[in-house]
Amino acid sequence: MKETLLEVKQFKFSFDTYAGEVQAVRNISFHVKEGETLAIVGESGSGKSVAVQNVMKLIPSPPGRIIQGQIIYQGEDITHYTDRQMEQLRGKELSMIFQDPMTSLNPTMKIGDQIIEGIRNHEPIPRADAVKKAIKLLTEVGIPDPKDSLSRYPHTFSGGMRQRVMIAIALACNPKILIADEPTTALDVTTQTQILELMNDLKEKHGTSIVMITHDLGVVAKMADRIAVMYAGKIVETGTVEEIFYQPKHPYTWGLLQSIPKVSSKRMGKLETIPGTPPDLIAPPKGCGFASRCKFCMNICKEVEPESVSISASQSAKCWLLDERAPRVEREHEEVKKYS
Amino acid sequence: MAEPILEVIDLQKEFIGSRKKRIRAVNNVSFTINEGETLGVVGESGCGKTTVGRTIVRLYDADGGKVLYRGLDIHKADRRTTRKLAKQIQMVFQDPYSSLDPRKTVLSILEEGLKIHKLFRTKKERIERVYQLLELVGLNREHANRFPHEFSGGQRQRIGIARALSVNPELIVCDEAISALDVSIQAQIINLLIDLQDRLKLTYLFIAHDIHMVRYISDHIAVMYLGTLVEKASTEQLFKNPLHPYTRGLLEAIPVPDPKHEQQQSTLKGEAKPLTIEHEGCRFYNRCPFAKEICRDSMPALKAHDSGQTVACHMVHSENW
Ligand SMILES: Nc1ncnc2c1ncn2[C@@H]1O[C@H](COP(=O)(O)OP(=O)(O)OP(=O)(O)O)[C@@H](O)[C@H]1O
Ligand SMILES: Nc1ncnc2c1ncn2[C@@H]1O[C@H](COP(=O)(O)OP(=O)(O)O)[C@@H](O)[C@H]1O
Ligand code: SF4
Ligand code: SF4
Ligand SMILES: [Mg+2]
Ligand SMILES: [Mg+2]
Repeated sequence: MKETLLEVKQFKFSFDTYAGEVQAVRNISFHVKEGETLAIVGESGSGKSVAVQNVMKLIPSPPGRIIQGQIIYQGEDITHYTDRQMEQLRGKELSMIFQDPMTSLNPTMKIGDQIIEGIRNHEPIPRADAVKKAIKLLTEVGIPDPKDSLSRYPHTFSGGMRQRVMIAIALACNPKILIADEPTTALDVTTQTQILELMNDLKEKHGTSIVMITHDLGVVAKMADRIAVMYAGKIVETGTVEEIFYQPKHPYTWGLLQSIPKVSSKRMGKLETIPGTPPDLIAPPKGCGFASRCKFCMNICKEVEPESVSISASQSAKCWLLDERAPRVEREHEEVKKYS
Repeated sequence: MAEPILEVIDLQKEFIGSRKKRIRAVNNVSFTINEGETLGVVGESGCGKTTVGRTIVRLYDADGGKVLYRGLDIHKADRRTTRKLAKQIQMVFQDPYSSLDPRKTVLSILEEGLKIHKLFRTKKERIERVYQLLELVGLNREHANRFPHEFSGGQRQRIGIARALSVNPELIVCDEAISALDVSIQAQIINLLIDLQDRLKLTYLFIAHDIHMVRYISDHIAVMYLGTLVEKASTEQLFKNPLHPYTRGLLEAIPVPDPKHEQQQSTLKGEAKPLTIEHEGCRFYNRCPFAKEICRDSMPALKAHDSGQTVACHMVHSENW
């Protein structure tokens, strides 16, 4: 049995804003085991980033606020760790890379200095050794002219290069869990393939667990062992990659899979979408969060929130359709259609 | 016959790279877009797509070549014309974080263009328009009084799209406009863009790396590699019969949304290195599985091929291909 490294339990998190309390994460639970990749998918604004940024404690309070729940890393409750305590974990145990590397790279500092600082924060080694290590890391992530690159500033790199630099920094201290928030969303497919292969190599070589947020179902299929589907601040379905792709149970998951383009040209018809928009999280609906957009919505859905129903040891979903009293409905497109 | 609305002719743009090396980010790029059509631009990160887009909206000056908008050289226009062009050519940016002023509410961000170009007489009309724009891009009117940092990345990108649409432009340069959005919203935005295109006769230069979406929305596609155009074709032709070795590698790299699909290892290895202006030969040489000696020494020209597209490759044009 693989050890569970990270566990998030019944976690609720809000932002206090002028307009009111934005309930960004509304009671979610998930876990990550040693050496596995968990993909978190879901519409933008569904709380994916807020969920993982909480694991890293990256959201300042105020405006952020933990309402309830626990975050447990290797058996230790880190929910209320101070910044000082977190410093011990960040980089060494848990590392994070972002969609937009510019937000986390310091624009006024040379790439080399940023990597070297990262290394020396955790390892008291001489600068010359850190420089060597930095060059090795940049080579490992595929930066051409690694030595030259040390003296360049972030803005002179293209998006793909910046992401590689970010990964190099994130990996500098061999973390046990790499959290990647849309790491390849800003990249083209060939660079994406290389970055994903790089991440998979690291997973194999060092046994690193990966938590990956992405909206590209192609990337999910390629990377994930398990998937958590988020909608309006909740995890509405979770399961292995096969379960989610081949036997999804939640109407939102169905919609997500249906949005994979099946026609290849605008002349052949419209793309399928999930009509409507997600609810406002300042006043979230009291029943199922998906009710306003769900084709199968019943009276109960608007009134009472569905409980999580387990379908197998690894799969569960929150939907009233899974209640035995509900009518049987069929998913429209059974198959995950292949691209031509 | 559709008229060309935009002609890019031998466009060149240089940057100063590390150790004062001059890097040619865009090298003799030429293409035209017809009114009401969409040209998709794809290519590896750093290949100069954004630079082309930014030159077209005059965020950059060209270092060579020109950009004609309805026959008019946009980098030589007088002040009045420049003002008019600023309304007609809009850009949606790649980076939803830095392209929105953090101190302004969504309402004032979206109102700005309407004010500059004096599109509505009263504040009430302007606000109505802002509400309409927000709904158009899948947000709601309650969002108008919030600030950019209160939105997720995808939501911010929708604000950027609403801003571009606000002044009723003719040409929109979409630089990775949907890349930060999740699939279902991407599809909504693409449907929306096509809908608006039909209704308003909009023309798009659509830069994106999601090749499915580019395929779906584009009439023609231009493939760029390290600052050069390596292949240009109608969308159908490009997918039916990609010719350039780089285009082939690109199409192979698309991840398939099916966990049982065994993706072949990408044939594209290595990394595109920015090249100095002195570089001769094919820019794809160091990564190309078909490279021959001639490729190292001389730069292949973009030429028409029998199968209907234009392509820049010595081998594709040689007899025994
Ligand atoms: N201000 C700048 N100073 C120096 N070099 C630059 C600058 N802006 C861009 N470059 C370089 O020009 C080249 C083209 O960059 P550009 O951002 O246009 O590429 P891109 O295709 O849009 O890439 P991406 O998809 O990663 O954004 C890259 O090599 C980049 O490093
Ligand atoms: N700093 C903030 N202040 C107020 N609301 C925020 C803030 N950051 C995120 N939110 C809100 O929290 C929700 C979840 O955002 P996020 O986790 O970024 O979405 P995503 O799933 O796209 O990553 C959204 O409704 C967003 O508007
Ligand atoms: S609980 Fe009801 S509204 Fe929610 S997804 Fe299930 S059927 Fe649809
Ligand atoms: S010209 Fe030569 S190196 Fe360049 S793409 Fe063609 S075969 Fe490859
Ligand atoms: Mg996010
Ligand atoms: Mg770009």
